[in-house]
Amino acid sequence: MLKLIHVQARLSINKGLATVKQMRPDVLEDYQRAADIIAIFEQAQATGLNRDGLDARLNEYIGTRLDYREIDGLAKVVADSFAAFESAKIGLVANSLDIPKENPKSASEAELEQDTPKDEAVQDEGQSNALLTAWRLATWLEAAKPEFYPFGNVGLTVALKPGIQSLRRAAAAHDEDLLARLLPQTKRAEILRKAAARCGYKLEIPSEKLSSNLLFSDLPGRHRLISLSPTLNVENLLNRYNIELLRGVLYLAPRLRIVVRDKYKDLFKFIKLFGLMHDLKPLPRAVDFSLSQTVATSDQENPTETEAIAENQIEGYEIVLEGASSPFLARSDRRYGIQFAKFLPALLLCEADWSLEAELVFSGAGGTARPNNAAATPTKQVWLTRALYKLGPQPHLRSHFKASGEFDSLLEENFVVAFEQRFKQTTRQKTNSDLNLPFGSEAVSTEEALTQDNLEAEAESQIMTEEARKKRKARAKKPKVVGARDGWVIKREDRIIPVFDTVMIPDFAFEHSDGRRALLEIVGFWEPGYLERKIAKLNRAGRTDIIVLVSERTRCGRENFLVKGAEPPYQLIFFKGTPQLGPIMEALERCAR
Amino acid sequence: MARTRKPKTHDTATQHEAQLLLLDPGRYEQPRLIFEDGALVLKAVRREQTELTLPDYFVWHAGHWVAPAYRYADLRQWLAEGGQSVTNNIPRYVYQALLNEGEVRAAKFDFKRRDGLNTAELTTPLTRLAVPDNIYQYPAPEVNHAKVAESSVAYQTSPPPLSRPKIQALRPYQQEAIDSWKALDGRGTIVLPTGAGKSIVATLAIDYVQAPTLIVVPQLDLLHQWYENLSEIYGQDNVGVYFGEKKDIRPITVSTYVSASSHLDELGNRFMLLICDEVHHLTSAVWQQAARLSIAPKRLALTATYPADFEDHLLLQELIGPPCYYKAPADLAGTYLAEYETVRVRVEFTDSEAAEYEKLRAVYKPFVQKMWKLHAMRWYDQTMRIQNRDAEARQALVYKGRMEQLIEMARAKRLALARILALHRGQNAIIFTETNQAVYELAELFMLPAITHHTGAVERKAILDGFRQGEFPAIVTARVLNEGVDLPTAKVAIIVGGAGSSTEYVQRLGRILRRQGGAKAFLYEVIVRDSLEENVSNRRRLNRKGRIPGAKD
Repeated sequence: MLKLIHVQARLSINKGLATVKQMRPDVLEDYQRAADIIAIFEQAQATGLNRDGLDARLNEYIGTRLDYREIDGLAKVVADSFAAFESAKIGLVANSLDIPKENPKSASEAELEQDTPKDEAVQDEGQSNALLTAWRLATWLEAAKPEFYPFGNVGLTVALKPGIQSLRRAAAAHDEDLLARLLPQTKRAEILRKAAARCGYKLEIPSEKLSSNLLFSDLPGRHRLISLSPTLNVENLLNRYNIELLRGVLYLAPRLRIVVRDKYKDLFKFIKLFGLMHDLKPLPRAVDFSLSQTVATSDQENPTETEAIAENQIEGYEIVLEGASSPFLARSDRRYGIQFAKFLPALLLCEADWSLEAELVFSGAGGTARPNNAAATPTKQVWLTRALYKLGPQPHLRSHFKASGEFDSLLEENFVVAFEQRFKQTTRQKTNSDLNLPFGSEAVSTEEALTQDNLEAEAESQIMTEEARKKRKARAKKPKVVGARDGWVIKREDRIIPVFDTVMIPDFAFEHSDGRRALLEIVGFWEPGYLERKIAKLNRAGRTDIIVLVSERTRCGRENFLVKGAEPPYQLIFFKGTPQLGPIMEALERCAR
Repeated sequence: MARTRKPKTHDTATQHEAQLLLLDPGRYEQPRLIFEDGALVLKAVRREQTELTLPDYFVWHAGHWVAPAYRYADLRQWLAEGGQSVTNNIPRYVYQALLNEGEVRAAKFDFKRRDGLNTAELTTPLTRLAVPDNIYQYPAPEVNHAKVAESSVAYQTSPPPLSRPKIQALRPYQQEAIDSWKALDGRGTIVLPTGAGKSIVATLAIDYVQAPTLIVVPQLDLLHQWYENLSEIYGQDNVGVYFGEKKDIRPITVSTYVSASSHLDELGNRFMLLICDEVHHLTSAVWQQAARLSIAPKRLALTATYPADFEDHLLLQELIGPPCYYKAPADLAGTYLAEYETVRVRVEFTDSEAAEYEKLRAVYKPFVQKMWKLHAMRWYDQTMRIQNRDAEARQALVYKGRMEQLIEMARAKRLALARILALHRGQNAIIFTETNQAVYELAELFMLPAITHHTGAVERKAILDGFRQGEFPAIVTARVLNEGVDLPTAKVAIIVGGAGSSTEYVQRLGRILRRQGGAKAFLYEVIVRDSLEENVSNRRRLNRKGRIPGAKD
């Protein structure tokens, strides 16, 4: 994802109104930049440059140009979305006897491993990193031995009588030959070879090519650019850049107000899919006073029916979404930020007719700057820029993104996988531990320093090389079968339940082959006000065929759901960590109709 | 929302709760203070209340009067004086683990030292503060056992026994420091150089307060060090750690700023004493939440480098207390710290480097002079601001970057480094650079172990252990070893590159100050003669009061 500095390059603020300048292939300047960067990457791939080398090359290209932020942003988009890096191979080979092979696997285990080819790759990488670490430590131990120790060289001390003054005099004169003599190539090779032998490995590289550079080949900066996506061309790059740019801009908004007038189900689907905190408000059709008055007076016994706006009266909806920097996410909930970042491309590419308004808040010059929270923090004032930003559908971005097929499959897959991810596998033995469970395991994870890189990796996981995409598709097929249990099939629900002046959309619907149906709502992300509204909505909806799953993390008990002291009409299930299928199936049998 | 007073009973637990409610119907009508989400909330008091005169730090927010947690000490005073009618439900200084079965109230906790240090005279309570805190039971924290189990080598539950000599007596300055802290009502910052026994001072504060204590440190290495030290003094049962991999709250708990700033909104009322180690970090926007969200009425901050910035000082003054004791490295060198000497070694560019450097400087210098005439001190900020529209400014900044790279990568520095290491053969040295790039370059050139933020926990531990045992003669690093890590055998520090900040300089100096026999410590700066680096070096040797004591040429 693009950083603030990249976004600021294309963001201008005039009288409190923000405008974003997208890059266009028909503008010569933009075209040239993109073409140059693609050329640099292609060249780098051809010569097998690593990340550091590539950065140096890009820096050379940027030179003293003023549009360095744009170029940097473009390069970042290529590196993140169109390029694949891999750590360089070092010729370390295990002496077969020294390293214990893993125990022979049972057939089922072998099968499982075949199912998860990605995991194996990760394991491989972890293993080679551990190997490299051992080699490094052995090398340093070896190099500290008297026969190799470079600082025992006579040349260093001969000119040097003990004492600081003579050191100063000697240091002033440089002697490149002496420096080279300290650790000549032959000695280096010998150290590396001995160290490898000490760890039980042998080196396949000839001595003259052995260099101590190999020791750090696992550093991110030393990763080689191995392949570029075949779809990389100027148009695709600029498209992708623009999407990332808008995404970066919307990331700055603590709250988004979206008005959607048709095909809103798509949008609701995405909001539900990513579990975002939202408030829905129907926008009634142009007023028809006579009708609404008669309806209101005619049937007073059943207020639920009358006050709810019938679907044919609704012209559209106003959605208020909590953004990634929502003030309600006081404890900087990164997980929500990730979900939100994933949602934004969905919004940009959604076919609905929507319009969006948001206030952008970020630190930096321009706009109407004023100290944030002057009362609360008397010292260390942070100057924030605030600007209003308006956005509508971006049809010119859509075609390319759609054509790549990335997004359709993402929706389809996530919908099915979401269920698999969210519920503990009761019928299968093993869950994929690498999957990021939407809730459950995150309670303890605050310290594991999710760096910006990780965030990006999370948000970017769907954009991979061709190979990875194929693998992903292969995986996506399986769960469809697993979704069905005892005749029940789970589906994403897109029907809207009217509740007084607002509406609600449950997360999932269960359908039995005999036609029975039940709805499932999960209470996950929360802040106190949102939770209250949600419970109020559930209670007022008054439906009996809803199952409500409540995480104990929300710190609300059964008493919060009571209606005037009585049990709520719907089925209430509390869970700790990950929800279990068992109780859900029981509740299903009870309440489905 | 349909809330109700008398919930229908579902199981025995809620039945019990319901009984409590029935027994005490007035429970919710009385004004009471609670700790919620890192704030002190006054319940059951209307906005237009008349009977109480609330202190001015209360604000009306979301239907309640709310005060920031760190004002609890003042609030306690107010409760004793004007707010007797308010029930204080805020502090929960008691631990489940210590409760005997069936016992509702906790026994007083025994903070007995096991290191033989006589601190009898320290435990006399102050007469000025006699406001008792109500004591409540608090449920044990949830522990994700799976997560804890998979936590790796990085954390050991049973620390290896340290072969540290028992401390027989306090050093006079330690006693002075804690006395001055006590004289300030137990709120203040003590500034002592690294190696002067700051953690002993902290244990004196614990002995004095005799109540649950939270110690906040900037990094995991320090967390482990504190844990090992404290569990040696107070016993392992009494000391817990609270961070990503392990969340174990004990009477004395060690945590990191990262964990504390994100979890104290729930746990902030469980500690009476807050100790902030390396407190100069506390001023960052997020980490300061560690002090803001805690109610601890007693606060002690420790650092070797008190922030020079006035705003930082104000912030610390508000959150912790005033600086109450100061000793510079030079004050203690020789008697309690190793004697040390700082040496500047100047090297020359090679001919090709010099030519390149001159070319860049010919453009850079006139620009800086021009900006200086226009903006004086603010010239650099101004240049940064206009760099994306002013071609000259952009060029100057790019050239500056290239000059700095030339300086850091100067060939002559490599040989000078080798000469210094040859001079100090047999002694352990730490080599500091500015960038990671330089770290790896040096590590490859001399085949020395390198530590950066990319280094994994296992490898890092192996390197540091090897260094302590003398297997590795030197370590190359950029900033990660600037502070915190205890490397008592290091006697030589060589600064090949660094920022012009005196904080960094003093912290790096602190690495070699721990007394180890009578050996003298040496701090070398290798700089390129007549380059930008001369100024950088001068700046880092200055502090607010002028030249850093002992930093002679």
